[in-house]
Amino acid sequence: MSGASTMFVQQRPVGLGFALLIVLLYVFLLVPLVTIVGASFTAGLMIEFPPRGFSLQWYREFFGRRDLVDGLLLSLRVGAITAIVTTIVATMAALCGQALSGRKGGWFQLAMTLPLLVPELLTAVGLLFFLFKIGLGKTVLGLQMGHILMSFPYAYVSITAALRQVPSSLDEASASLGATHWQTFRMVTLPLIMPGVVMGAIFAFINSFDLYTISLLLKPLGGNTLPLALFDFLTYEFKPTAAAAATISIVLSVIGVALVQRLVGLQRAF
Amino acid sequence: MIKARHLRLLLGAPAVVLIFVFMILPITNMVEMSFRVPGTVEPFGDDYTLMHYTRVFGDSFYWGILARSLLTAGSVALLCLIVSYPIAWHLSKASGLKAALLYALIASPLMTGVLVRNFGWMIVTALNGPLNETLIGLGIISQPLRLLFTQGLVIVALVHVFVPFMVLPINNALRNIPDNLVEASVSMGASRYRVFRDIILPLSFPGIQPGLILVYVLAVAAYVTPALLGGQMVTYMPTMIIAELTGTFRWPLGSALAIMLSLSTILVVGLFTMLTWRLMERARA
Amino acid sequence: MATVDVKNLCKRYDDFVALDGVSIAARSGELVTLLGPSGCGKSTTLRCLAGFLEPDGGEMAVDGQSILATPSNRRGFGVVFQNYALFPHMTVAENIGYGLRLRKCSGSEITTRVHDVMSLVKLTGLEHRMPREISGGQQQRVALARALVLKPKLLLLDEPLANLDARLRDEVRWLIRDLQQQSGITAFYVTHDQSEAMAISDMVAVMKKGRVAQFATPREIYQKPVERYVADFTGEANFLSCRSLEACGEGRMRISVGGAELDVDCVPSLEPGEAAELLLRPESLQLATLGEDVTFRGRIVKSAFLGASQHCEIALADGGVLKLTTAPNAPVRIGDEVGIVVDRSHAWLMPEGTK
Repeated sequence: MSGASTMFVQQRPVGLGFALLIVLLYVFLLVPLVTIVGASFTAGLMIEFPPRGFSLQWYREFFGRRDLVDGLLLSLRVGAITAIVTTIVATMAALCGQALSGRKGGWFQLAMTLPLLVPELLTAVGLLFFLFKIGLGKTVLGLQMGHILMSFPYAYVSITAALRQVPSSLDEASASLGATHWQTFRMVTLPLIMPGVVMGAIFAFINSFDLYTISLLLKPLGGNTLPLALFDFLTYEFKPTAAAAATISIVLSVIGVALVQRLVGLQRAF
Repeated sequence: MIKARHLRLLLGAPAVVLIFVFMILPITNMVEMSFRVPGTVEPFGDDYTLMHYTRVFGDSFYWGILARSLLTAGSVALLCLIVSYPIAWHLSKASGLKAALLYALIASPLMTGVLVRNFGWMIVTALNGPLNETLIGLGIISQPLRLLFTQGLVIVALVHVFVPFMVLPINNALRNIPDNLVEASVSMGASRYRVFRDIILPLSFPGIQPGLILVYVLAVAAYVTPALLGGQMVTYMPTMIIAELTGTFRWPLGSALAIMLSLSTILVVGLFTMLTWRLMERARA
Repeated sequence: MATVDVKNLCKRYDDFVALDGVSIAARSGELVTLLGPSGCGKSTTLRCLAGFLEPDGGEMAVDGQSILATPSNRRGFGVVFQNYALFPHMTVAENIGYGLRLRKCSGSEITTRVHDVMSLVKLTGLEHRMPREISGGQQQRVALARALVLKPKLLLLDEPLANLDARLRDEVRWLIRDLQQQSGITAFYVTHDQSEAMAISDMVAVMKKGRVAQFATPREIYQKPVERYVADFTGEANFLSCRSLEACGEGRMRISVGGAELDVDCVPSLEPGEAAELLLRPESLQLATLGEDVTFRGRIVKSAFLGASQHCEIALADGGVLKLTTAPNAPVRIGDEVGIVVDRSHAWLMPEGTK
């Protein structure tokens, strides 16, 4: 009940102009996405919005293109492995981070989020040289390592946040009942942080699926991720097939947003 | 008890190895690379030299591109702030279902790839695209505007990419301002404008400053957007670096350019942090 | 220095009625307390006066002039909040001077007035501290100074002591009362603490579910409550169900209770024969020593030694229970049969009500 009005009554209510501005800004945020989804369903031959008629022909076309489908498959595979590996490593790291406090904890936190703080471009350039040096240049494994590195902080931050909500007294209570560390983790901690872990996996997957610059520099011989394939496609053919491919990517991220909303609520996630 | 703690610390080892081996070592490697002599067959040679730095820092061509990159990133960060502040304000006042919906609206673009979002702008700004059609329909212009492959579009698309990064910290800062600070200042006679200027704006600075820094750093090093929407005409540091690495295979020169970009970014961010230190210090509740 | 008239104020949120016809008045220079449990509408009333909420109906007037159409920032009232609401990014002096700066006072005038009010609330020397660097009690005094420096027509205080510990609460309470009386500012004070309300108010409005249950002086509220709710909320109380027999003079009634017949003061509207309850405050009861006029007899069922006093509960023959406080030096034992002496001039009869 309190705070029903934060602005003062009987002065002009928030102006019509401000409302209009807000609407325009949200339109600005959404317009590129809406346009892509719309354009992917066109029955015409060109990318246009609003679409001409309705058809699924460009999705058919997309799934008939080797280069794009291969890209999609590689992206899905790399993304899935990234999600699994990062989640496990990040959960372990979060447990370690919890045991550190004060200045040490701060440094650990900083180190764990480093890939997020240093521009992707620099990491990508460094990795290009390094992987070349250790013989992993232009391999899927090298690309995979790059994706794991870049997605790691997202999982780490989500899981750490979830872990922070678990009172440490639960650990002690469980130990006092005779549980081993592993039993405590399996039966007390993990179930409690599960939403955060799953959210971390989702973030890691989506981030990996969207990575561009690092994939460009580390791309394996003859292999393209979907964003790379899409970029090439856009440079040479500007056809609604691209809109169909992009729509698939948008749908994935909307599913991710919905899952996160269900799991922990977006407000807590960000 | 000590044993349990050591066990815990051990759990962090894989992550530390990951970060160290695949991040710290590579970046050190890049610094080393920038001192290598150019190679003839390989992308780099065996000996060390300062020639890339003297070349890069001595050539106004590179300075010009660096300046363009820094200025573009600066305007992107500022525009981003202008666009994001009203959204953050609106979001911070929402609760319940409305807030969930707005968060989804802001998070959906955030979780969609940069390439996809840039592609969206290509469709929107095409010669016969919806933007031109709308403007012609409204009678604002008579001929369609050529927007694609312009610096303006690069800026707009970058702003679009980074808006969520700015909205979220400002939203958090605004949510941390207790309602009754506003009420207190109103009861002392403050107008709507003075409440904003004296209370809301300074107290949201702890969201504004990190937002500006984050967006600036990300924008300086953004590659996809200028590459896709900037066309061949406009070169930025990231596009040039990638061209040196994957096109002409002059890895040492590319590294020197990357380091030049990093150093200047650190300088700008450091300067900005120092200039705004007082504002931050005050607002830190 | 202003008179305030609040008439029939109403406010609802969806299907929750926050204010259901609240009427209160303050004469010039009075401190009026709104007392009640959380959710009774006391803060809502204050927030309507401050202009933070718009009432759905009713009238609010200061010096006979309606303030309904005046926006909050032009009402010229001082507001003190429970959590102080100090601006965390301004120093103590800047906080206090903020309102003066809004009024475009000159720099030297601001300095003098801030200095004067700071010495008034004993904060001299803390000018350049940030709010987070001073104690809770000091913060509350800054909040008070910030409101007073503008010489407001009306001072609104919303549970100003709730976040302070008990020791400080007393000190700041007297400071508030002294300053309010010295400056003669009319004030509204919201609290859920009855002793606080009693101690500093000229008038108290006890609120219940969005209405004013009783609006009177502290003495009347305590000694002559109009209903059980008010009696309960204002302090320790014993209630005995009784039968009223007949009126015996203006505002007096003869009753039969616990085997005794008494003549007591009563709520004026009470009719003979109506079901009624007798209010006996613990301090108007005493254990009988020899030779006194015993009103009730009973058995001690509980006792607690509190140091400066002892507390005991006595079960009467007809099932009623009386709580009372005795001097500490004569031990009381559970199971003892005792007689109780009632100070009849402070017994009070009310219509029977729900709890």
